[in-house]
Amino acid sequence: MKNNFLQDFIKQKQIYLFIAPGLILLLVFNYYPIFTALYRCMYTWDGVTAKFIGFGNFTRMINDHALRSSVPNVLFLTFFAVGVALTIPLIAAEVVFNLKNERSRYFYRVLFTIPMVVPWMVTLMVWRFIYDPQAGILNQILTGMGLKKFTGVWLGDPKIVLWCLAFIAFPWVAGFNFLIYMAGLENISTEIYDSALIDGATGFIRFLKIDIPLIMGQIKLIFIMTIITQIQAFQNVLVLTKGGPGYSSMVPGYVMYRSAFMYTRMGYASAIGVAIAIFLLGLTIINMKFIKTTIEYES
Amino acid sequence: MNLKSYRQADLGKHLLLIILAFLTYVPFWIMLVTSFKTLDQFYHSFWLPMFPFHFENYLNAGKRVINYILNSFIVTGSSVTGIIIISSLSAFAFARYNFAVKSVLFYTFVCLMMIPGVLTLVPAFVWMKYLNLINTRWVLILPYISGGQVFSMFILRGFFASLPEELFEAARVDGASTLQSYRHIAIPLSKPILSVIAIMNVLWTWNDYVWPLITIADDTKRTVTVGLSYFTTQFFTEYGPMMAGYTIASLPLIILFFAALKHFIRGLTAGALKM
Repeated sequence: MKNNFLQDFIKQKQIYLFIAPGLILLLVFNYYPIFTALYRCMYTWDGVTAKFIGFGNFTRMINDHALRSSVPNVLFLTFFAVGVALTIPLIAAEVVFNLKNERSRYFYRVLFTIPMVVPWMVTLMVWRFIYDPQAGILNQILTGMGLKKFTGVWLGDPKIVLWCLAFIAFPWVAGFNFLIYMAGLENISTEIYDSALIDGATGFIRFLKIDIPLIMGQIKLIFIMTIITQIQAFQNVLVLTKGGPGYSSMVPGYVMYRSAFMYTRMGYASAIGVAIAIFLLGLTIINMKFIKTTIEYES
Repeated sequence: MNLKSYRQADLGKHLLLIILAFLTYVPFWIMLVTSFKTLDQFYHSFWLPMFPFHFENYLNAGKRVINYILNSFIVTGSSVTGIIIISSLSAFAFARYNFAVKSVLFYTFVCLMMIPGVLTLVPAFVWMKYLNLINTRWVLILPYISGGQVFSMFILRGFFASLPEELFEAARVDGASTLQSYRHIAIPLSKPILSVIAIMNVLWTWNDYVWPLITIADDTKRTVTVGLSYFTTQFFTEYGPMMAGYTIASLPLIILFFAALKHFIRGLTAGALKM
């Protein structure tokens, strides 16, 4: 009996050792910064000295002109990205899935996966080159087609800079979303299709009545992931426009970045981070309550 | 339906897909074509390749980009190796054993999937500065392992839990230790899913931009995504070498992609990620 207990203890100890490396890393590199953020958002903080100001950072956010301009911008970019993610890669995946020839299915799948492995920075840089007012491809094409009056300064134009950012990576087919839809469609069993065929459900009817409900899990995943990524995204803005011209392409993530790394207002930046996180957490809770989802991976 | 109408039905689909593919690839085509040109040739025609090809663009750009790529190799390689080892160990423990505070520990891991990156960016930077890790490779590798292991553990745990208990029972009867069942049963059976996880994490670490931008100021340690933005300002309007640099920077992952094509496509489509 005693021997059994000892064995169990040794075995358990080994189990804890299996978890220890991951757990220690999490505590040091993830949890500690999280608690620092929750605590320092109440301070003015330059990274070294800190002074408690209560909710001062949050009241300051309300009057921050850059932050106020950034909210509608990020909502626009998020709505646009969600709209795109729920339509174009889905249609492309459905069309590829319905090709009769297996080899061409494979071919298109590879074709729409390659751009995913090109570093995003390269894609951004190439799009910057496309939008360039002098050498840019877009203006050259328009001039070549005799539409010179439509040429513009694109990223430099406050009225259309958001559209330019939204149109990066047009036509938005290639990438993870396409592959996730594809996976969903391929997991639908052939029996369901056979019985659908007998019931006369083909083409668009089948797409609406069978495919869409059966890949709802994938659609929800992409819907929620796109929102969460877009609300906090600021890499494109940081690389291409710095929020400009003026505040016309400012997004909250970049306001945070700017406060921290240009003005060393770490406390204020932490507060913005906390605000964005609370907003996203709210969305996640709504999602869990009403859409009732958890991520799963079936293989 | 006969064969002919089958083909006709697919013709429209092919047309649509070809148009989409064409639009997707136009920017990359222009990148590739421009990378062989001088400025004069570029202004002459930007659509088509022009003779003579100027391979020296690649030499000029390569000199600067190669070091960034090497850095990315080191960082991504170490991070992904670390993620695989650490996440598979904890996933194995969570999937196959019961122990006192299991659910608390498990939620300590998975709760992090709900924490957005913006929350920790600023305090994590100050923390790294305090730990004197700024400008070292560790400032990238350790947080990448720590962040990447969570989702990987979550997926792996699901897979390990689905393995039949008899396998592990038999091993235990034969006197195998926990470490041995992990190494000789769980790991060999999960190679396909491990490669999916490796690929996802390679893409993620290789592409990360903001974190290396703020933590690495030393040009000799810069990774390729950050390096490219500095590189671009150096070349200003020399589009040939600039585009050559982008092409070189894209090659490693494209080569990896074709080398692992089977795993890549099968891995990302055979197991369905959904909610």
